[in-house]
Amino acid sequence: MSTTEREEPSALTLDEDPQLPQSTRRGNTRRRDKVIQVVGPIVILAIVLVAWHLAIVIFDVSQFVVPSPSDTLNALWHGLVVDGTYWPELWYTLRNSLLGLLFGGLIGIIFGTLLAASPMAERLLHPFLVGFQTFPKVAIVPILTVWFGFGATPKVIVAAILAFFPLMVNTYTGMLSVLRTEYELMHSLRASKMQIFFKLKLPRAVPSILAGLELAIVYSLLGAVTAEFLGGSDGLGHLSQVRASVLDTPTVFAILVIFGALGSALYEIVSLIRRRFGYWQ
Amino acid sequence: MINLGSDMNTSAAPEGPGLRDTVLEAKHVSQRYALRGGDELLALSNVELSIKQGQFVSLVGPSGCGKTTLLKLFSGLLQPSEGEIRFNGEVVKQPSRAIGMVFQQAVLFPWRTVLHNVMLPAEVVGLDRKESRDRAEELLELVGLKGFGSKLPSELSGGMQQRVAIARAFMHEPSVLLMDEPFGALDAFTRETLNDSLLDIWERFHKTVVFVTHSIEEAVYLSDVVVMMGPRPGRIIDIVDIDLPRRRSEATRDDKRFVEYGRDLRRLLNH
Repeated sequence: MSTTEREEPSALTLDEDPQLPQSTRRGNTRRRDKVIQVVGPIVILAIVLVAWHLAIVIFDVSQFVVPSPSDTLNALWHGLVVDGTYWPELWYTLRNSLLGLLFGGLIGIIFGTLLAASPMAERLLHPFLVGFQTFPKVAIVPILTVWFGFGATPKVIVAAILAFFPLMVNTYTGMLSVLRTEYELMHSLRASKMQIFFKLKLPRAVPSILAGLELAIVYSLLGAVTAEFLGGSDGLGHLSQVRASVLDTPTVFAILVIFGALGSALYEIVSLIRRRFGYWQ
Repeated sequence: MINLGSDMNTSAAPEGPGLRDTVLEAKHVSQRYALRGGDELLALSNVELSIKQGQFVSLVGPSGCGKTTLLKLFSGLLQPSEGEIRFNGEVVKQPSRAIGMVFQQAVLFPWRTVLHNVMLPAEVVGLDRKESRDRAEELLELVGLKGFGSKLPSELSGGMQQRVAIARAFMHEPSVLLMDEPFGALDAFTRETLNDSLLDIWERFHKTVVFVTHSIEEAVYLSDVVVMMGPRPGRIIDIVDIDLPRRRSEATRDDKRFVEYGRDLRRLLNH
C-alpha cells in the first residue's frame, strides 16, 4: 500500500497510465525466462526417464519390482486408450473427492464465518476443533465402512472431513483480517449486518479462502484415495491396491502418474480461480 | 490584534429557533478510558463546542489532546462518558448517514475499482445505481481523478487514494464531513495540493467540515474556526476565528495575518 513515493498527477499527466512501459531489454529477458520455464522441466523429465531406464537395464531390476518407463507408458496407453479401464475408476475417485470438497468446503466456510462472527462460539468450539484437527482423520474409515458399507459414502465423508479444516481455518482468519477502520467506515454509513458481510467481510476473506481451497482440493483427493485403500471395490486407489497384490507394477506406476496429473490439474484450476477472484492481492 | 478566545462559538446554546444554524454541539463532554491496573485516562475533559452550518472547523493539537476522540464522538461511533453530543439539536446515539467520514488512511476496499469505491456509500444507503454512477464520475473529476475510475486502489499513490476517499465521502451527500487527519500521512507538497482540492470541493457543496490535524498551518489555511486543544487531560485551550478572505490560495500563505495566526496559535499551545 505504501505508494506514497509515486508522484501526484498534474493536470497534464492525468490521463496517462501510471505504469511505465517495459524496456526492450527487459522484454528480452522476460522471453528467455519464459522459454527456460517451459523447456527446462521437459529436459529434466527426459533426463529422469533416461536415468530410470538405464538404471533398470544396468542393475537388471525385475519388472515386478520397478517397471521401466516404457512398461509404465505401455500400461498407461493400454488403460487409458486401448481398453479404457482406468476411466470409470478415475471418475469414481474424482467424483468422490469433488463431492467431499463441495460438502466439506461449504460447511467449512459456514463454520469459519460463524466463528469469526461470534467470539462466544469461537471460545466454546475452539478446543474441539483443535482436537479434531490434530486427530488422524483417516482412522475413522473402518467405522464409516461399518456404518455406510463399501460404497462411495465413506469416501465422500473422509474427503469432506479433510477438505473442511483448511477452508474453515482460512475463512475464519480471512474474516478476522478486516481492518477496524473498514468497520468504522461501514458503521458510519449505518450499513446492515448483511451489507457488512457481503460488501466487506466476505470479499476481504476471499484470498484467504482461495488459499484454503488450494489445500482442500489436494486433501480431498488424498481422503478419497486413502478411503479406497481401506475398503471398497472401485476407484483408482482400489485398482492400484489390487494390481499391486498381483505384482502388476506397471499398472501401479501408471496410476501414480495419473494421480500426479490429476493433482496438478486440480491445483491449476484453483490457481485460475485465484487469479480471477484474488486479483487484488 | 487577533481576537483569541471569542466566546461566540463556545456559548452553550440552548435550543431555540434563533440558533438553528448550529449543526454540531458538544455539551460538557468528558471521555474516560479504563487503563490496565484500574487507572483511568481522561481523554477529554469538559469540552464545550458548537459548530455552525457550513463552517470549516479544525481541531488542532499535539498527540493525546483528544482531537480524534472528539471527532469520533461527533460521528456517533463513540459515546461520551459524560455530557452529550447533539447533531441538529438531537442527541447523537449512533452514527448518522448525514455525517460522512474521511479517515487518516484512505480505507479503500482493494478489491473494488476506484469508481466502485466512490459508489460504496450510495450502495449501502440504497441510491439509484445509474444516478450514483454519474455522480461518482463527477466527483472523481472534481478531485482531479478523471479517467482513473477503472483502476484498482493499489495502482494509485497515497495522495490519489486520499482523493478517492474524499470523493467517496461526498457520495451520499452528507451535510457534515468529519475528517480525521486525512493528509497526515502525505508529504508536504501532496498535502498542499490536496488542501486546495478539498477547498474546491467544499466551496462547491458547502458542507460543514470538522477537520482534525496536528498542523497549525494547515488548520489556518483551511478553516473558518480553529479549535486549539491541549493534552493531559484533553481539553479545548481556545477557539479562534480565522478572518482570512475566502477563495484561499498560495497568496493566502503570504498574507501577513496568515503568519500571525500561526505564530499566535503556536504560542497558545506552549502556555
